[in-house]
Amino acid sequence: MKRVITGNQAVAYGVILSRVDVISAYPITPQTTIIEELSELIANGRLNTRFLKVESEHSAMAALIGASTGGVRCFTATSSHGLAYMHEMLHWASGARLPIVLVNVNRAIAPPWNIWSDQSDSLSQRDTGWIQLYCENNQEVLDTVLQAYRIAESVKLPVMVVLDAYVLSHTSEPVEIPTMEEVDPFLLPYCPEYAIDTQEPMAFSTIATPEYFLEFRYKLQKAMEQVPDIAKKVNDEFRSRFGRGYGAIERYGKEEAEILLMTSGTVTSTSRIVIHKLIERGYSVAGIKIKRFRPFPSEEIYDEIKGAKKLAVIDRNLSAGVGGIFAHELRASLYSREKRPQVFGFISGLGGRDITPELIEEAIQYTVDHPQPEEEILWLGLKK
Amino acid sequence: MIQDSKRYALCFVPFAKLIRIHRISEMTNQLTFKGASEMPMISVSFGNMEWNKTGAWRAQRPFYEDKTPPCSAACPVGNDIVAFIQKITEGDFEGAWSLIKEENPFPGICGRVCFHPCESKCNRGAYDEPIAIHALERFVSDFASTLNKKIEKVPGIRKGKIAIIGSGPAGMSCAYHLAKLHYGVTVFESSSSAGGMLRMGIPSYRLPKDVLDRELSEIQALGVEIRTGIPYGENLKLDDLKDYQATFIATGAHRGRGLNIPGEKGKSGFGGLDLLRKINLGNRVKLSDKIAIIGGGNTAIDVARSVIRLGKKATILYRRSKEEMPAFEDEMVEAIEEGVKIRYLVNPIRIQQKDNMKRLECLRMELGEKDESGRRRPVPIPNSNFFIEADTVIIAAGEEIEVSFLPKGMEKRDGVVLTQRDGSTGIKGIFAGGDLTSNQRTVAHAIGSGKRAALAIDCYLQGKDAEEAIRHVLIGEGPSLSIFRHFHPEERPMNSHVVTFEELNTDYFETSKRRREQRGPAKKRIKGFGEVTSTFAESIALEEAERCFSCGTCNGCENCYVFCPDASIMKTEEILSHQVDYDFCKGCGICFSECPRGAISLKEEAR
Repeated sequence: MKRVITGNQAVAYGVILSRVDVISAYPITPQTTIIEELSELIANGRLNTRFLKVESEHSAMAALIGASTGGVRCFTATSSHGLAYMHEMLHWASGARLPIVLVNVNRAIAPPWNIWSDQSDSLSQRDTGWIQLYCENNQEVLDTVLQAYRIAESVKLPVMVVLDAYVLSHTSEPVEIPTMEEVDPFLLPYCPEYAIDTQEPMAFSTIATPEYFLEFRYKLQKAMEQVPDIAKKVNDEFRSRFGRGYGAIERYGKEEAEILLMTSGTVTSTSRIVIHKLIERGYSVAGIKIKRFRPFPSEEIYDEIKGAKKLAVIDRNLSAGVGGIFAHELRASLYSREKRPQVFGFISGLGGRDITPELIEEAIQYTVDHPQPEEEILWLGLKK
Repeated sequence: MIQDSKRYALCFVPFAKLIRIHRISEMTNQLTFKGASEMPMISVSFGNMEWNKTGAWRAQRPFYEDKTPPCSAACPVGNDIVAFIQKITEGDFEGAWSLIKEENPFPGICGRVCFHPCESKCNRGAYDEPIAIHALERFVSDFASTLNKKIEKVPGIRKGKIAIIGSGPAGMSCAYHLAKLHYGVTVFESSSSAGGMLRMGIPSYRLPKDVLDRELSEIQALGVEIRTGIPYGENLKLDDLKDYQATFIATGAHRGRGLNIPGEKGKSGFGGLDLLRKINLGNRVKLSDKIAIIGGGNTAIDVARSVIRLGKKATILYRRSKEEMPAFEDEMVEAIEEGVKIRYLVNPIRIQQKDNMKRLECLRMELGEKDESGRRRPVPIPNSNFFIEADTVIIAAGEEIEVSFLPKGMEKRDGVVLTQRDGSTGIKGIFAGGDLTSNQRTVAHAIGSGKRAALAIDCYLQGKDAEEAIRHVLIGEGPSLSIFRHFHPEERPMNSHVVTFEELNTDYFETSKRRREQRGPAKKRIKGFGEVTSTFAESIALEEAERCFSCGTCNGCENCYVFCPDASIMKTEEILSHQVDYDFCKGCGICFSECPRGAISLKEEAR
């Protein structure tokens, strides 16, 4: 059944269809309506899920760590400062190998105060050991929540599903909503490997001396390395059941292109139109949508470069002192390759400023016009 | 999205979980590993942390200790208020009744006429409104009466014979407790029926006679003999009581105090108590229409409201202002509703007879400095004389004790008989109590003094130190005491510290309105002597009881259990065992600070 719903409602549908056992969250704009929808359903007795009220995001994640250790399926949602406040617990969730799913609605981090879309919040958490999946539209949001539980519970790692503030969170689009009967066979009940058993008490995440700590981290990395394969299988199954799917990356535009444009989130939708137009005007250009940021899809991206000479990246985020984080990670992943394109790192749309077709076109034109970037960071639409 | 009910309905279907959890026995119980391949996914201790006796870190030790609630400390009778309210919340109304009856034979009476100092001290008063303790007590008594509950006589060997003079609340309370202690008790009463001031002084619209009779008969059922029509000093002398091992004198204060003004002894003047006695005994009272009542105490109000019920007009003249009036607030409110007029700052100085009318010459007063009672002293305004006309003047300016018949050797001071704390007089074996020995002339004080005397008489006859016994069972700092605790020292022990509002953790309480007893419309009330207020319905009693903070007394809320970070609060079969596992309690004090009612104490750990 198709319904016109916002991105946040799509998240809520995803959570309902995933038969989540425990939700704990703290309100923050622009995430709040997700939890409002869910808590209202729970309060009205229409959703059989335990909702834990907490006094902060740190506690929300801590509560879910407890619940997940108890062997149940958990969910939370947050944004910006809320996610930053969770930071310590994010490490704990991944280190304890708990398959928690968190939805982060991208929002800038203050100051200056700003509630609009910006990826700096989620990308600040790139080293916490969480899988990160970015979404382009509301359909993808719902579907990604469902897939996230499958992936998380397979590799025993937490997953962060990310969507843009307002552009998705508060904008309504038609979304195909699967039925419970359709989702149940795709997403079986969570079967934990270890769980609290009050009959046989034991201590979780106890001390690991220097003798073993390295090995635990090795195992964490190995789990991350399983993600590409498992995510692909999950997506393949999803596609066969629901008729749609999403790769770690997606290439669109010309089959063989000299210039590639890499984007994430909703910028991709705008880019699709721009690239289509430019191809009509004779440009040799193609787009790469990056959905999975962690683990970084180095192989998948390299496979799709196919001899392109230049790769423009639009980053809606900034790691001050380095530049755009997607561009930065991309450069690092290409460095060991013999044949690698020149990377043009654009920064644009911070704090929710629109990344317009004109700006995207400007970025591509710049890439066409220059054999190599004049600067490490190329500011798109900057008012100097 | 919310409207999509069909879809969500699916979520209710119970979901058979297919969880297979690795049991410890299935996991590698290994402490050393060659490498990552052998290691589990996460660090797990296959044992537990019980070896780590964190109690050794403790610098302070929490422990359960019930403390004295302010209501009980303020109750002149010594009722265990928190305990009986707790029983109400459990729906155990009979249990509540039994608890009250341990200390007080008169819950139906106290629940109606007591001035409830317990409520003035109720900690909930500092939060929103105090608990309606009196109404709960009344509810419990009336509930028990519907079941025809009676105090069971515990079999025992008769210890001795005691004489009690006066069948008022003090005498009958003493008789009740002595009878329960297996003494043979004979009560001598001068009037034709028992009850003393309860029967003669309190109008039945406040205390219906059937309630009084019911509670008196329960005492008689314990074997107490009441001999009426035997006035002490006339038909009965101390020498006549030689067969009795001890005597308790509680003859009350029945003599109306005069005003010492010219003309007061004239015709068609009544003492307030005389009038109430006549009405209460069902005698015909002939009254003229316009009645002036002089005084500001409860007797004045009782007289005025009774007179109104007899179809007359009543005006109370009081020499101070409303704030100083000793009558209880509720009574005053009800009196005014019923049409009683009160004129403040008016002092009669002369009563003149003029034809069939009385003419009161009065002075207007103003308030001066505070006197020894803490109230502002009324001072006459010079040359403010004026006249009030009335058909009848009734003086209700306080009562005095009758001293003429008291045995020699009894010391008197400040208008009362002097006794030791245990009620003993200067004469061996003679005890005294009630209004005779105190200027705090309330039913509750009288009941309390009777109980105290019962304990003292028992100690006296058993050769024990009464003073010592009383000191052990005082509630808070006293003066009231628990006779239950004297005979059951191990049950319900209580620290004498009185819990203050500041010691509560009110984060756990929601504000709620005090439930009030319904009272009928004034117009209807004044048509007769039927009871003004009605007893709580069961549901209201439950709601009101739920409001009790249970100050100082654990009610099993389990905050300590929930909040203890060391899982050291112990429970047996779903009930708190009121023990702390000191092997693991680190002494963080969270149980102490999260206890809403101050039932946990903390003391420094002795090392």
